[in-house]
Amino acid sequence: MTKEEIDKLYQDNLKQFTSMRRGAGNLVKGLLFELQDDNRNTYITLRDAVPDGFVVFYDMKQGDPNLVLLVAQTLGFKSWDAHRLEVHSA
Amino acid sequence: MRKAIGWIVIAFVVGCAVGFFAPWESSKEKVQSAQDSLKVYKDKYDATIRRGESLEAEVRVKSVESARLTARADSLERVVDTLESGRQEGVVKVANLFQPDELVDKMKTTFPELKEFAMGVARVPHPVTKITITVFQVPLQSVATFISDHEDMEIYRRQKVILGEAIDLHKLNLALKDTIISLEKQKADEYLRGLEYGMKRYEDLTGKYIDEANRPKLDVNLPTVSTILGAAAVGVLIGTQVEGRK
Repeated sequence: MTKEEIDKLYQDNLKQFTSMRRGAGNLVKGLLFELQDDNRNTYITLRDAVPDGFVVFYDMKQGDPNLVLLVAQTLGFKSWDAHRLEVHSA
Repeated sequence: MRKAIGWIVIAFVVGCAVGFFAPWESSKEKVQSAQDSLKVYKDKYDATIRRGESLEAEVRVKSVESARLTARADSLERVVDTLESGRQEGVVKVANLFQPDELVDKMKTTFPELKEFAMGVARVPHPVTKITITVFQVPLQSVATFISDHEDMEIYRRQKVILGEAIDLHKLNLALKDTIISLEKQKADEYLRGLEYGMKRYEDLTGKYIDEANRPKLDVNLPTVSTILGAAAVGVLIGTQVEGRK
């Protein structure tokens, strides 16, 4: 992906995670950071975020799908699968 | 005897005259009474109208004050809208801080108490997944700031919602009061029209009554039996006196 494509993808994802409950959205943002940091170069497209909620769906854009699951587990998500991420709410 | 009858006739004529003029005297009293009643009523009517006009002036002053307060409230609501727009822009700006240095700088401007602290990032491996993640370092007890700020924010958010509902209810109540005031005004206008109509009718009727009372009566008022008997007695008395002097 080019830098422009990465920036564009981030802006699209930003609309998704900022629509979630703030703490949950920032944990998803942290997941995006970890996926691309340290030369992991993995990118996902977020979609259908629950407004003020704790759930967001995603599609793979580039990279290792298993890494998404491992990072979600590492950051302490409540649940995760190939297309859905859920953050603890209470 | 004939002279006595003559005096009786004279007395009868005098009785008729008294019978004619007595109603005139009675009419004057009635006219005066009607004029007095009309004046009393007119004075009360004028006082009521003056009081109404005085209240109307007070209403105009209060209306100006009310408009000023409404404008001030609208201005404050616009300030709140501006603050909300700024808040939303701020959320997007912070969401756009992605690199560690950007977040550290923003952290130091947001919490100047920590600007001299060697805040920074560290990379920590997860014990189970073995994935290394980047974490942020702050003095331990500073975490309480984030906790308290978050709790405050939750309370403020609920307060905002409740205050919004309270403001909406106040607005509904104001609209209801405006409706009540409008109905009261309509009622007062109806009363005023009724009062003005009543005053005019009373003046007209009193005028007609006075005209009628002042009009000379063309019919001859025949003396009553008591007047005739009284006049006869007076005639006899006068006749007796006159005859006695001869």
